[in-house]
Formats: sequence, C-alpha cells, structure tokens
Amino acid sequence: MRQGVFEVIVELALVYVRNVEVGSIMKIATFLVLLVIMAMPVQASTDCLECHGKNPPKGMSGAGSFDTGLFDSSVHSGLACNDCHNIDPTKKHKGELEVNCSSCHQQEQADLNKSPHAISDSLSQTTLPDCVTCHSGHNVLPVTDPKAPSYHLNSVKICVKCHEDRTITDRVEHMPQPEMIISYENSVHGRALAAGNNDAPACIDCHGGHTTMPSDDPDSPVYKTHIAATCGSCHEEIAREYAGSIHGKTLEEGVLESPTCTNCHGEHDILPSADPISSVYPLNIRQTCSECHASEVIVGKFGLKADRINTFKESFHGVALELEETRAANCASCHGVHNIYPQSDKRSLIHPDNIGSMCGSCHEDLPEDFAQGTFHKSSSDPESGGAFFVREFYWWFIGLIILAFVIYRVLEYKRRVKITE
Amino acid sequence: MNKPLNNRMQQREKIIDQLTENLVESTVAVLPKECDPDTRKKIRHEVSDRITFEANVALNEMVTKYCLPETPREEKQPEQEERTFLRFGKNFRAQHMLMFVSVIILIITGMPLKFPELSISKFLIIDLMGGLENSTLIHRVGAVGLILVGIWHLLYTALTAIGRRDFFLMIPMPKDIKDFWHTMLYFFGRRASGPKFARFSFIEKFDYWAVYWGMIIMIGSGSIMWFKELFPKFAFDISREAHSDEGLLATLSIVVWHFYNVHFNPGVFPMSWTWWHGRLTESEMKHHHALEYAEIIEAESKEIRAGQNETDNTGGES
Repeated sequence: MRQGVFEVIVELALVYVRNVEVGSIMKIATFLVLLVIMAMPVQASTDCLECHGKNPPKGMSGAGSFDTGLFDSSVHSGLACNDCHNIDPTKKHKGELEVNCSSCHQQEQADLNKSPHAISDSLSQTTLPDCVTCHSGHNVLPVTDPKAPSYHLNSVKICVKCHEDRTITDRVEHMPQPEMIISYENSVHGRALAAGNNDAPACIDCHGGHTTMPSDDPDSPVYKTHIAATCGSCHEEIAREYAGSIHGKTLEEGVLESPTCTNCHGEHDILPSADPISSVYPLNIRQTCSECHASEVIVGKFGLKADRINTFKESFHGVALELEETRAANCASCHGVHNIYPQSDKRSLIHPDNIGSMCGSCHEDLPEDFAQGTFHKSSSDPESGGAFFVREFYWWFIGLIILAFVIYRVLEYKRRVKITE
Repeated sequence: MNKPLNNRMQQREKIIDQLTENLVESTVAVLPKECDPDTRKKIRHEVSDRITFEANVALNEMVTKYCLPETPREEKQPEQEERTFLRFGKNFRAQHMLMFVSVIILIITGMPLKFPELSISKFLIIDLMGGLENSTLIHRVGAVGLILVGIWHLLYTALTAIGRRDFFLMIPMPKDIKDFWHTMLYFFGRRASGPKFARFSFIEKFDYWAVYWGMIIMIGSGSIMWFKELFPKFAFDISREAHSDEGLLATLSIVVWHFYNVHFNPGVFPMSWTWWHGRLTESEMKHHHALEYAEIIEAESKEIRAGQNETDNTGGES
C-alpha cells in the first residue's frame, strides 16, 4: 500500500543525508533514524490494517474492512490513519470515531461554524451535515475532480438529499419547503447545470459553500442587498445596468422594498423570458410589476402613482396583452428592463427627448410628435380631455336609449296582452 | 264529409256491442255459483257500462289523433295565397345583406376589445380567429364592407328614382311627433288603435337615421385610428373612446331593438323573411303601413278605371 510513500520517504531521507556534513557511518545511522521516524505513521497505517484490512483476525469481525483502493485514489492518500483518527492503536477502541478535519482545514471549519448547518440546534448532532456528508470519508476527492460528490456539477445532489426530504424539512424549523428547492431543478439554471454546463450556477454559487446562511442574515450572499452582486458575478453587464437604475439606487439607499433581481425573476424558479410561465414573459410582466406598483402599501408608502396598472389595462397595449398578443408593448417595452429611470432622468426611455424614438422602435410610421400626447390617462379621468366628455356623453346616451327601447317594448307588449284578453 | 262520418259512427257502435258481448260472456264463468240472478244481472250491467265507456274514450282518442289534423291543413292553404307587396327592391336588399355581414364581422372582432377580460372575448379572438393580428385584419375587412355600403347607399339615394323617393319619405315630419304621441296614448289605453303609418313609420325613420349617425361616427373614428400617423394623439384618444362607446351602443341597439323587431317579436318569430324576398303580405301592409296601402289600392283602382275607360273608349270607337 505504501509503495509510493516509501519511495518519497527514502528520497527525502537521502537528500537530507547527502547534505549533512558528517562521517559516512553517521550518515548511514542518520539515514536509518530518519527513515524510521518518517515511516512511523505509515507503519502505523499498516498496523491498523492488521485488524481493519480485508482479512481481519478472529474475534475482530466488528472492526470493519477498510477499502485501501478507494483511499489510495483519494486526495488524502498520503496521510496516515492517525492524521485524522486520533487513536492509540495499543488500546481498545470502538464505535464512531471523531474525525477532526479542522486540524488541517481551519478556515473551512470556521466558515462552517457560522452556517446554520453547524449552529442549528433543532437537530441532533448526528443528522447535521458535517465534512463527510458533502465530501465523503476515506475516498475524499478534490472539488476539481469530476468524480467528487462535491464537484460543481454534482454538488446539487448533495444539497437536495436533505433539502428535498420532507421528513427532514417538516422536522426542522426555518428550513425551506422542498417545493422551493425542486423548482430550481426546472429553472433555467437547474436545467443548464443538469445538461452538463459547468458555468451554470449550482446551490453553492449563490448560497456559498461552507458559509451557507439564511437569506435574512445580512452577511448572506442572498440577503436582499447582496443579491444583485451575487447574480452579477455571472451577469455582470446586467448587474451594472441595474445598479444605476431607480430600483438599484433606491435599494442601495436602504429601501428594502425596492426590487432586486429575484423580485422580478424569481429565486429558485428563474425561467427565460421566452417561457410562457416565466414571471418576465411579455404577457406576465404587467402582473409582476403590479406586485409593487398596484400594491396599496408600497404605492402609499413611497408616493408612487396608484393608477399605472389600471390605466395601462385600459390602453390598447393592455387590451392586446390581455388577448395574448405578445408583441404588444408591456411595462418594460417603454420603461426599460434593468435600465429603468425616473422620467426626469436623461437616460430614461420615456424622457421627453427619448420618448419619440422609443415609440418609434415599434411604430416606425408614427410621427415623432405623436408621443407628445398623454399616456396612462383613463378616459374616466376628467384630465384626459376630450375622451372624458365623449365617455360621459355615451354613458348617458347609451343608458337612456336602451332604457327607452325597453320601456317602449314593455308598453307595447302590455297593450298587446290587453287586446288579446 | 257527412257520409264517412256516419259510417264511422256505425262502425264504432258495432265494435262496442261486440266487445261488450264477448267480455260479459267471459265473466259468467268467474262469477260465484251461489250468486242470485239479480246480483248477476247487476254485475253484467255494470261491466257492460264500463266497457262502453272505455271503448268510447279510446276511439275518441284515435279519431282526434288520426283524423283531425287533415282539416287544419286544408284551412291553411288560402293564407299562403294572400296577396303580397314588394317593399324592398333587389338593390336595397343587397345593401342590407352586405351591411349585416360587415356589422356582424365588426361586432365579433371589435366588441372583445372593449371587454378583453371576458372568456367569450378570449374565445373569439384567441381561439376562433387565432390572435389579435388576425382579428384586427378581419375587422378592417368588415370596415371596408361597411364603408362600401355607405358609398353604395349614397349613390343609390342620389342616382335611383326609388332611392330619391325613399330618401324624401325618410325625412322626419311633424306627423312623426303626432304619431309618437298617438302611440303613447294608445299604449296607455287612451286610444282604441295605433296611428296609421305611411311608407315609413316614425320608428323606421328613427332606425334609419340612427344607422346614419352610427356610420358617420364609426367610419370617422375608425379611419382616424387606422391612419393614426396622420393625426395627433389626442384625436386618436378621443376616436378610440368614441369608437368603443358607439360600437357598444350599436351592438346593444341591434340586439335589443332590431332583433326584437325582426326575430323575437311574437308575430315574426323566429325571423321575418322580408330581408330575403322583400315582400309584405296584404294584412301586414294594412296593419303596419295603412296609408301606403290605401295609396297603392287607390292608384290601382285608378289604373283599372283608366283601363276600363280606355277599353270603353276603344269599344265605342269600333
């Protein structure tokens, strides 16, 4: 088992002895002493195998057989048993043996200690994930190895093993529902990763690896104010555009109600905008924006205009979207997507300087000054001008005419009945 | 008629007699032996009465079921032969047909846009027509149809004799107000009968001018929206509101008023066929256009008299 290791040890001892300026007998003695000292832990491993090997001696059947093949191919193949298992082989030992990875991996252990995986007290210590849960034991492989369970493409499987298990999620307080996790697998990210795209984000890319923290923790990478940066680690251009927008600016100023990426795109269930059930599909955008812009709480708190969604519904664009015409303008068509600015901002698509060309991006034949008219004005609003008076006139006219028709018919019918009687 | 009826009566009596005889004879065996003759007689009597009654009922039913329908059919014949009067010529009927085809197209492609949230609207636009792009195209086809009707009718009014005559008869007159008042009094039982109308009653004049008004509003506002690049946006906004409201008014008028007149009115249900053959019966003429009817009859009698005079004259000469 130790073939390679012995060679290394011999090599190291030889190098040392050659550089020591002593007599040849002393050199041989030093060499032998070094050899013994350095090989001692390795010797111990071979000792362990006496009991824990493939053929344990009589009366030691409970010792368990140690798969040397798996360990040899692991990243820890150079370590001895006692580097991890602090065991005195001369004494009787049994049961679960505490493994202390932190003696080497201090930073990782410190990170893990901050996460709910380490500090959660709703679970018994045995079901909480530890190093082995994700990295496996003797056959631990580097995360860069495609065969490792903690390899990027495989890592999701580790997380969903517990997070999609209802017997666990029902037992533990504050643990998210499995549906939420399952929805990731159908999302654009989950599907890309499942298809083998190593650039697609797995759980750890957004939530962090050892430092996984709940989203309401201000240090979490998925805390509201950090989400844009987290998404921006891949979607750089968009994150920069968003950071300058009214939504990004306001969030930066500390208004937590202001939307970040996930408020419009969803969290685990992010879908491409071409997917008809995506929250940013052209037909669904109105609904997505209305979550805030038609919410009395948000509109009232920040003094937004409350009628934006309703007046849009009345417009021809709104009617066309209602009738599933995807080409019709939705909120984002005029106001921008990530680059939404107040109308007074020169960069805004609806700034008086830009509005003409914005309309013209769909209506090539419309004159520039067409856009100088009023928008988001219901004809039930007196400020809409002529349309208001037309509407008022027809409201009364239709009512009176139809009423007159019905009265005429009733009178006629009554008279007819009287005559036939 | 009388002979077969008598024969039937005789046959019926014969059958009843036979049945009574058979059944009474067969009951004899069933009667208990210790019955005294008086009771037996009584029973026989009752059985015979009962059978006569039942047979009468059954035969009556048969007679009503199989023999009676012949008589009403014979009576209906003369009705179909009633004299009819041509009210609408071919040209006018064709205008009406193009008009209602266009209007139906315009309503089913237009009304859903006023009520886009209703499932019937979604069905019409998305499922039936395959989306807004198609429905707006179909709407424009209907619009062209309606505009053509408008032009056609104007030409018809200006260039044909009947068109010119009818146009002048359509102009509202003081008599129409009087007729309206008369109708109200009649409805409230203050007059024994309704007013007598000429070729066009005040209701028909109202219908005609309502369509005139509707055509102007719909074609005008529709054209502004169709060619919106030629107009400022406020004109578009007003047109959209007017088009939508006038469209609703027109639809409601057609359903509540016009469909009642020509479909649901108990006198014409399920449909008056005048739009197809253009004719009214003599009784309809007398009832709805009494003055026009009187004029026609007078003109005819004058003609006949003139014809008689001619024949008299020629006869005299020869």
